[in-house]
Amino acid sequence: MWSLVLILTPLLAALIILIIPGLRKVKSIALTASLALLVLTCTLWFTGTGEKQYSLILPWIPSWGIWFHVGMDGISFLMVLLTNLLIPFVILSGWHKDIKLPGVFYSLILLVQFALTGVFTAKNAVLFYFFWELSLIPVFFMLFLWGGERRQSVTMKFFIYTLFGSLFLIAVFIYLYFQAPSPHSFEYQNLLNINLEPCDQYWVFWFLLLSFAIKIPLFPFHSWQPDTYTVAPVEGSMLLGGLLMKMGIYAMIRWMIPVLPSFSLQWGYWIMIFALAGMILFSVIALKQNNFKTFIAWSSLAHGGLMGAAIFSFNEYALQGVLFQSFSHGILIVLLFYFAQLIEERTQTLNMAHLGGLKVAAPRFSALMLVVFLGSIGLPLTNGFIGELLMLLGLFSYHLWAAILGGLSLVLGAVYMLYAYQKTALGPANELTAGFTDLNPRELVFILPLVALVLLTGIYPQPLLTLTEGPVKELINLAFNIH
Amino acid sequence: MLSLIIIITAGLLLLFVGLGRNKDILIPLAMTAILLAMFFQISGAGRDSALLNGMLVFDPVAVGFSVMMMVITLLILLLGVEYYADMDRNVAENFALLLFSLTGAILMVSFNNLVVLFLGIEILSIPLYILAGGKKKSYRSNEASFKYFLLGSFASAFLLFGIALLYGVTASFGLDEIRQAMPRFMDSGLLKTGVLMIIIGMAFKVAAVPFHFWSPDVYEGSPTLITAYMATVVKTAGFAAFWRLLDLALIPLPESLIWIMWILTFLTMTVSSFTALWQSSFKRLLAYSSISNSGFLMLVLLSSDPMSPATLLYYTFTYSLASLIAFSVLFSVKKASGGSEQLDIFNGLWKNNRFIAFVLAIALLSLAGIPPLAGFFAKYMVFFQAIRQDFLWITLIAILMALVGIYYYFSVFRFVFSSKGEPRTIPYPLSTRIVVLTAVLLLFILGVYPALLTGLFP
Repeated sequence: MWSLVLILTPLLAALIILIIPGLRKVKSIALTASLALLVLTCTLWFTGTGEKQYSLILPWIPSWGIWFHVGMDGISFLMVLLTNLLIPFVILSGWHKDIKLPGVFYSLILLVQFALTGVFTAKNAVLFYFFWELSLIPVFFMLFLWGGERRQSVTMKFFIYTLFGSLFLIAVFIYLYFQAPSPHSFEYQNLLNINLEPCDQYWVFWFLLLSFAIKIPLFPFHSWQPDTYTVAPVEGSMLLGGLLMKMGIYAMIRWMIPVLPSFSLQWGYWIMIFALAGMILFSVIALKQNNFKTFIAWSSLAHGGLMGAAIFSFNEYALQGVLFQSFSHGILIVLLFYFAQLIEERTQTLNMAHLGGLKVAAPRFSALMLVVFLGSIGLPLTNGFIGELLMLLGLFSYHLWAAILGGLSLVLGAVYMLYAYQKTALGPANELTAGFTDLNPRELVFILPLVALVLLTGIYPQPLLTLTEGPVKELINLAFNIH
Repeated sequence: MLSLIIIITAGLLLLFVGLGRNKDILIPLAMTAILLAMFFQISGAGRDSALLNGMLVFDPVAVGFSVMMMVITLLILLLGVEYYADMDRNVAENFALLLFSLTGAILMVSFNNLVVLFLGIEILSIPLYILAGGKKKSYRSNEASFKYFLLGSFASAFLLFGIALLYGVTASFGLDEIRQAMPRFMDSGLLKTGVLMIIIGMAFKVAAVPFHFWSPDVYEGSPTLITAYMATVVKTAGFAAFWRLLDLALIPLPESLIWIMWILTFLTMTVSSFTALWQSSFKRLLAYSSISNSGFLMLVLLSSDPMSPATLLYYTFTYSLASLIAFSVLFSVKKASGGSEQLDIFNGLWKNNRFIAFVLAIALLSLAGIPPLAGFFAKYMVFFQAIRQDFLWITLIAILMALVGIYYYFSVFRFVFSSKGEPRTIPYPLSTRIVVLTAVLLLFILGVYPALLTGLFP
C-alpha cells in the first residue's frame, strides 16, 4: 500500500504544478512535495515497515498476465530512498535561477521521480517496462528544451541509443513469458521459475544485457553519455547521473541475474573484463578532460565500470558493495554537478584549465569540494570508501586478478580527481577566480546536508547495509539453489 | 442492416439539403445519422446476425470495427466544421460522399461473401476518387484523384481476377464454402494464382510495399481532411477486410503464399520506415508513417492468432486517433503559414501556441509507441502475438523499425521546439479543440487501461 503512495504522490504533485502559474509557487510546491516524500520515506524506514505493508496487487490486464504489482524489499527501498533523497536537492539546485516555463520543468522532474519509484518497486515485468520507458520521456524533454548548446542532436542520440536497448527488453519479456511455467504471467516470481535451455537462448541474455548496459552505461556502450551529461541542464545531469544510471544497476541485479543465473555466471567473466577495461580507459580519459561537467561524466563512467564488474562477481560482498556504492555515488555526483553549476555561475566557464586558486578566494567552497572529491576517490571515512571496499572484497573472492584490476580504480580515481582539484582549487588565483565569492547560506543549505551524509554513511554505514543484507542473501540463494 | 440504410439515406438527404444554401445544418445532420446508426449497431436492434443469405454477417468483430469507424468518421466530420468554414460550393457533396464511403467501409468489415467484399471496396473507393480531387483548381489534387482512380481500378481488377479464379476452383463466393474447399485444392495452381491475385489486390488497397507508390502522392495531393479519412477509416477497413478474408476463408495459406506475406510484411516495415527518414514534408512523413504502420498490421495478419482481431482493432483505433490529431494540427498550422506543408512550418510552434504543440507532441508520442499512451500497448500486442506464433526474427526487425519510427517522429520535435520561427497566431476553433481533446483523452485512457477495448473480443 505504501508503495502506491510513494509512486502516486510525485505524479499528483507534477499535475498540480502544471496548472499553477508563478515561478516561486511552482518551486515551493515541488520542493514541499518532494520533502514530504523524503520525510515519509524516512519515517517508513525508521518505523521498520515490513515488506508486506509495501506490497500491493491490483488487477490491471489479468488476462494477459499483467498485474499492477508493486512491493519493496531492502534493495528496492534503498533505491527509492536514494530517489526521494536526491529529488529535493535537484529541485533546490535551481532555487535562485529564473527557469523558463517553470511549471513544465519542475513537473518533469517530479515525473522522473514517479517513473523511477515505479521502476524500483515494480514486481511485474510489463509494469517494470512501462515505468522504465516512461522515465525516459521527461528526461528527453528536459534536455531537449532546457539543454545547452547542440542540445537537440545530443538529446536525440541519447534518446535513440537508450531506447535501442529498452525496446528489445519488451521482446525479451514476452519471450520469457511464454517460457515461464503455466499459467503464464509476467509476475516476477513466475519469471524466476524459468528454466531456459542453456544452448539456444543466448540472445535473451544478450538483449537483457544490452538494454541494461546501455543504461549504466558499460564499455563499449558509453558513447552517448559524456555529451549528454555535458549538454543537459544541471538538474538533468543530476537526474541522469544520480538516478537514471542506477536503474541499469538495479535492473541487472533484480531482473537479469536471478532470471538467467546460469548465463550470467557463464558470461560474467567476459563482461567483467570489458567493464574493468572500460573503467581503466574512462579513468585515463577523465584525466584528460578540461570541461568540468565532461570530467564528471567520465569519472562517473569509470565508477559505473567498477560497479558493473562487481555485479557479475555475484557474491554477497560485491552486491552489498554495488548497492551501497549506488547510494553514495548518487549523492556524490549530485554534489559534483552542483559544484560545476556554482563554478559556471561565478566564472562563466567550466574549463578547468582557466580556473585555479579557488582555495585562496573561496576557502569554504574549496574545503567542501575537497570532501566530495575525496569521497569520489573512496577515501576512508567517506561513503565512497565503504562501497569500493566491499566491491573489491567481492571481486577478490571471485578472482585475484579481478580485484587487482578493480583496485586500479582507487589509484586512478585518486589521480584524476586530485589532478582536477589541483587545476581548479590550487595554485595562484587568476583574474577569473580572484573575485570568486564564497558559498552563501542558500548554497550551504544545499551542500552541508549532503556532505554530512557523505561522512555519516562513511563512518557508520551499517543501517544501509542492514537494509540490503537480507534481500541480497535471498537473491543469491535464489540464483544458486533453484536453478 | 438498419445502420447501413440510415447512413445511405442520410447521404442522399444531404445532397438534397445541399441544394439550398443552408450549410450549417449539414454537419449536425450527418452526425445525427451516424450516431443513430451507431446506436442501432451497438444495441443490436435491426441487426440480424446474417443477412442476404449469409452474405453479410454482423458478428462481434464486424460490429466492433464498424462502430469504431463510425466514431472516427464522427470526429472527422467535426474537424470538417473548420475545414469547410470558408468553402461555399459543393460542401454537401463532400459530406454525402464521405457517408457513402463509410457505407462501403462497413460492408468491408462485415462481408461473408467475396462479392460483398468487392462491392464494399468499390463503394468505399469510388467516392474517395472524387473526394481526392476535391480541390478542383489544384494540380496536385487532380493528380492525386487521377492516380488514385487509375491504380485503385488496377487493384480492383487484380482482386476481381483473383476472386474469379477462386470461384473457378471452389465453385463458390461464400467464405464458408471456400474454407471447406480449400484443403482439397491446396496443390492446385489455379487456386494459388487466385489467392495470390487477391493478396496483391488487397496489398494495393492497404498500400503494402511494393504496391505503395500511389499512396504518398495521393495523401499529399488530396485535401487534408480526406487524407485524414484515408489514413484512418480506409486503412482500418482495408485491414479488417484483409484479416476477415484470411481468417474466415484462406487460412491456412499454401506454403509459397505465406512466403509472399512474409516478404510483403518485411518490405512494408523496412522500406517505408527508411523512406520516412528523408521526408521534409509533414504530410508525406505521415503518409510514410501510415505505410510503416501498415507493416506492423501486416505482421498481425502474418502471425495469425486468436488475438488478431483485438490487436487490429486496438492498433487501428489508437493509430487513427493519433493521426487525426496530427492531421488537424497540420491543417491549422498550414492555414496560418500560407499553405506550405513542409516541416519547417512548425518552427517555433511551442512558443506560438502551447496547446497545439502539446497535442501534436502527444500524437507523435503515441505514434512512436511511448507509454503511457495507447500506441505503446498497440505495438506491445503486435509483438506479443508475433512472438506467441514464433515469428521471432521478423519481430526483432519490427522492433528495430519501431526505433526508426521513433526517430522520425521525434525529429519533428526539432521544429516544434526550435527557437526559430516568427510569432503568429494560429486559429484553433472550438470544434477542432473538442476533437483533439477527445482524442488525447482516449489515447491516455486506452494507454493506461487497454482492456476497455481489447476486452470486447474474448
